[in-house]
Amino acid sequence: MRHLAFIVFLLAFAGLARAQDILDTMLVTGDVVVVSKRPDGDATPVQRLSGADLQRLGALSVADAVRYFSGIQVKDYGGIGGLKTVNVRSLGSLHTGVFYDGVQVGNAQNGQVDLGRFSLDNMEAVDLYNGQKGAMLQTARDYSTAAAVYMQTRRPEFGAGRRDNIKLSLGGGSFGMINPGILWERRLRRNLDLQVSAEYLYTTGRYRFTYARDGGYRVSDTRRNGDVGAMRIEGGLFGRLADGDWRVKFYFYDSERGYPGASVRENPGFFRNEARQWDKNFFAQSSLRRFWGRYSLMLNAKFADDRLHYLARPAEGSGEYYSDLRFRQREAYFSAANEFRAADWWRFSLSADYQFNTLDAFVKPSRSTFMAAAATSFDFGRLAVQASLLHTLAADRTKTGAATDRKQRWSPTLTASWQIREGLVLRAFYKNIFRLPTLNDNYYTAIGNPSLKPETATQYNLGAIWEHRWLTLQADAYYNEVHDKIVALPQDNQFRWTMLNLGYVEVRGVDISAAASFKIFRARLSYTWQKAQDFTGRDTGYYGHLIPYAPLHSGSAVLGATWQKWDFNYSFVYTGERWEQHDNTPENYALPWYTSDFSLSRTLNRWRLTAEINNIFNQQYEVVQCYPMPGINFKLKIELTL
Amino acid sequence: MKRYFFLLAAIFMMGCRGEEPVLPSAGTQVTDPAATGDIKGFFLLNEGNKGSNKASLDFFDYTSGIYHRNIFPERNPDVARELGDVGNDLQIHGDRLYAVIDNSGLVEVMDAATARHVGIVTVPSCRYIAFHDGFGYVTSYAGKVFKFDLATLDVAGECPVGREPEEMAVIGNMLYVANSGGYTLDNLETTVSVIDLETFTETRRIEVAPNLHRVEVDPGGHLWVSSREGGVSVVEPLSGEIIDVFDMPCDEMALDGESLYILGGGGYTVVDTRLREIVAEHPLPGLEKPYCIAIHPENGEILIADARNYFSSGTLDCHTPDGTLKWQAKTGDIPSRIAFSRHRLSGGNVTPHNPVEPIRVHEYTPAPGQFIGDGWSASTPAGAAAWAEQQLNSGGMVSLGAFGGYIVVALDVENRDGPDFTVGGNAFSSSSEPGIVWVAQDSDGDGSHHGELWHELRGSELTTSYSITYTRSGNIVTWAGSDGATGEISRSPVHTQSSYYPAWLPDGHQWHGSLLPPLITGGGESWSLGNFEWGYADNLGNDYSRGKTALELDNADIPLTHIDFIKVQTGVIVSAGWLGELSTEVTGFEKIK
Repeated sequence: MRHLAFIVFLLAFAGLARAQDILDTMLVTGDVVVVSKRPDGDATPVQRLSGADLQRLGALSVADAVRYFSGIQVKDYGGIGGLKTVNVRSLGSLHTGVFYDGVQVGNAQNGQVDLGRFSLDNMEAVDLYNGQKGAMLQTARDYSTAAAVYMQTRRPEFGAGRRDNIKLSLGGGSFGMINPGILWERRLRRNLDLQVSAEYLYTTGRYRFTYARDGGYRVSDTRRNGDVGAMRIEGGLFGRLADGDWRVKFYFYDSERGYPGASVRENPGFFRNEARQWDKNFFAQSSLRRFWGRYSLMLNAKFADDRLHYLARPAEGSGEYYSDLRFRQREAYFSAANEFRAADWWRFSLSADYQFNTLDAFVKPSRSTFMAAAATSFDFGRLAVQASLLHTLAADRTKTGAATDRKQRWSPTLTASWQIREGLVLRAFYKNIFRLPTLNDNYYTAIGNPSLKPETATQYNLGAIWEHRWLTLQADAYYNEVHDKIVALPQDNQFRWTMLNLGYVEVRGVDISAAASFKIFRARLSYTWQKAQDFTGRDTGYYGHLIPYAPLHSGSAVLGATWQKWDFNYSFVYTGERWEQHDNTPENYALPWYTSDFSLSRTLNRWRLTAEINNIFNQQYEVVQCYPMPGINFKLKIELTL
Repeated sequence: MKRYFFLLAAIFMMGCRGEEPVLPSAGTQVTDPAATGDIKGFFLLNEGNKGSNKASLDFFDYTSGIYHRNIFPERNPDVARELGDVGNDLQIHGDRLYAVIDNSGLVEVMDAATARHVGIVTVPSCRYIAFHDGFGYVTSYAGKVFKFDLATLDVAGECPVGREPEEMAVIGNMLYVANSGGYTLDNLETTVSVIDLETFTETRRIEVAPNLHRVEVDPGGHLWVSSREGGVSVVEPLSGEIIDVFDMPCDEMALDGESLYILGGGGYTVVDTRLREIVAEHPLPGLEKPYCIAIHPENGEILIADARNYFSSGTLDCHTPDGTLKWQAKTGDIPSRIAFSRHRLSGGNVTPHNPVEPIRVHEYTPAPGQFIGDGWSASTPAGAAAWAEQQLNSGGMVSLGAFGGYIVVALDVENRDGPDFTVGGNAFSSSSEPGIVWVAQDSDGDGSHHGELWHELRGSELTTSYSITYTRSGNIVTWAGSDGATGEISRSPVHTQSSYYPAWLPDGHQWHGSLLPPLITGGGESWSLGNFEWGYADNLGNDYSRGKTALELDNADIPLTHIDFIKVQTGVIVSAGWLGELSTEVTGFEKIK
């Protein structure tokens, strides 16, 4: 029965979105394959990197991998330890949700999720959804972001007659990088699996960089205080029920890193950035699914505890600011999602989430967020339509009483897809969503503004996916508006700032991607044209200018070949010219950058050896101004599977 | 195989990327050129956001009316990472310009005439600078004042003061230092440290107010010290007694004689320091974040810079002493300090890989006009040409006088598709003074334009051949045209030289040229100068952008493949009342590459 369903699925659909759903279905529901006639993901653009493709990129973290998606910008402060956040279609990084095994990773304090901290070592797939995931059985939070990156970690799978999987790996490379890892999986019982993995990463972060001007100076220096030491331990129990599945996961991340700071003109030999940061992140999450004929239920729960210690202890006599900050955030989260199939062509779902966040810092605010989502989908053969409505209610509490008003919002989404003919599907979506001000936006000492409104993002998307034998093409055109953008503005003097709902941004863009696989060759190309303009006010002096760090053109290419036991991969990332500030003046202009990475690997029985050369042309570039990126660097990795 | 070769070649091409060029400065005509006294211009330092390495230097030239943005890189292409991070203070002392670059931990020392790098002084977290008797003094957030030798730029001593010291003032042999303690808002400093410069030691502290910042000394020898928490205190420096307090927000202060201008609270207040009374209050409603104020020491004009939202370019407003807005310029990010200069900035663009070709002036024969001989003189045609050449190569401007006046420069230009060369002018809205452009080839190869055939470049208008004779009578110049028309070159109260007639030319000289139709409207106090559609120098046509008219050799009367000389000639004869005669002005000639 299972195989039949699978084949029906394959026959009916093809393409990236479909591949996505096949994997999703298999991975997420395990033995119970729930197959709908039409994959839900069709109406919103989805891009996926998974399995071997993901491992071949030579990327260390999820942040390095998502650069290959179209319509995405990664803000990268350089090196392994530098903060890396994603921004989809110029809506702002705080509008991009990051989900780890189906549950959102939060940061109530400043909203930033550092994708550089998520290792690719145990990652099975990384997906990028514009709008939202099209599935019906999902949490209210899945509806709550303008775009989302889903990270799916590996699930235990055992070959015939096997009870244990053990994988040992050791990586090493430039900048004193060392990266040992271990993975152990065991089938405890017929319907219960255990997985434990651990990984350690260390780098000195000391890389050379050069700044030069054509016809002018040329200086080189070494990045200092960029070391990172990070330990990740993860474990999970994966259970199967007669009509469903469950799992429990825990995750622990402990790191110490230096802050190399902005690279600016300095006296030779006079180095001041000695700030360091310690992070301890812990979360435990569990999920249960049950299926009863027409009715399905999914329950999720999560507890997270994140501690951050920042210490800037400047050198004696430097005159720099000393600061010693400790923050602790906790989150509790519960979700119940229900799906009901009224007919083969008509489904409903209803989900309710409750989330409680606390922050222990300058002030001690807490926030309760209730989310409820109702969705329905219709499948009329060639035409499929889905509508959803999310209701959010957020209430804050502070000890000092300076809490914001309760906020509530209705957020509608409408998606539709139409199969014109075999292999060609048109898709469209509309989504209106918002992000709450972060706790920093609301309450940070002297800066926070409790009266902020949520920042809203409205998206319109029209696209098509076309598949022909070994080639898949996707193209989407979109128009976004960001209203009430939360920006920092100075008050009566330069030491006093405040957050205001002031910005207005319009984004027009086209994302194009192609994937092809032919004989031993494979290729993946993506290109984005995007015009993200600031229309905040005619008198700003930059009315209509491109917003900071939003290039008009960007793209990527991944070319590879597998021949016998050899595997070759070439990856290329391009970011076009852009401006580092609001004003698009020559002083704020940044040159395009592009990097080429090569990797070669060979399998030998249980062993696998990989050699990588990254940024092979040693391009000296910056993603964020004054944060130089590494030049050419090397990596070697050896893996043993038992 | 070939296919793979191309693929490989393409991949390797991807590796090569050009470097960013040395940024040239950008000049904008923000006002009319004006006669000046000793002050020829001013430098403006822009802070730039911390961590962006975008401190920058601007220069305004009163003689040309041109505001030059970001002049440091082009003059110092070899200074690594440009001016640095966070420009906090700027002062001229002697012939040198000192820029205190806070987050770079150094004072950039430049030649005040050229803004070229002389050296640096290392001072960590440096804030402000003062001078006394061959030494410079710089406050540092390390809680010290550093002393350095102005001749060698070597640090000659350190003197501990309060925490996070800010501005200083020298009275006699004493240095008064405002301590802020600004790093610890719950434990602010409240004192002024007094340093004996003889021994360079702190002798005492005067209790004033919390979080002190600015310091000025009035002509009566009193200290005016501002607090970031609000309030300006008047201190008797010897006794340390506080003799008055003005309760008002203060971001910056500027002293002009006995008047102290206090910027703060979205406007500025003028205080008479002798009477210690507020004499005027000016709100600045159009400004977002007034950040810097300076008063022209000679004409009393008030300069106020607006940092806007700190994340974008600022603006600079020049107000006349009575408070009316005279001109406005766009600055760099966070304009913070102004230093008036007695030098006209010279030395221009020195980028070795992108040299701007020096302009060679072969002849300069202006017709009479209000700028002729104003602040300069020449007694021979060669002297006049040399003056014009020097003017054009230093970013200045040359006036061609009334109808017929012309300049000839040598520039070899090839005829390509589209515009071939540009002629710089100072046209702005309702102020076009069109000049006709002529070109010639050096057909006899003698390097001289004499004896060559001039070809007029066609523009949007029909021109007629015309000649005019100017006659001197006393300080009046009259003219008679070839069609019998006569007139007089009106004198302007701002241009007071004895005669508007070119001194090196014989009286009754006749100028020949092409004449454009009249384009002036108005009368009395309000004149409006129109402009022609295209094809003329110093004319706000559709071929004019960024101060330059783009011209095409295809518009010559006969087909030309290349040219060697360019002539610009004032193409109109009109007088616009008090504005004076219409005279084409040129600021430069460039090939389009």
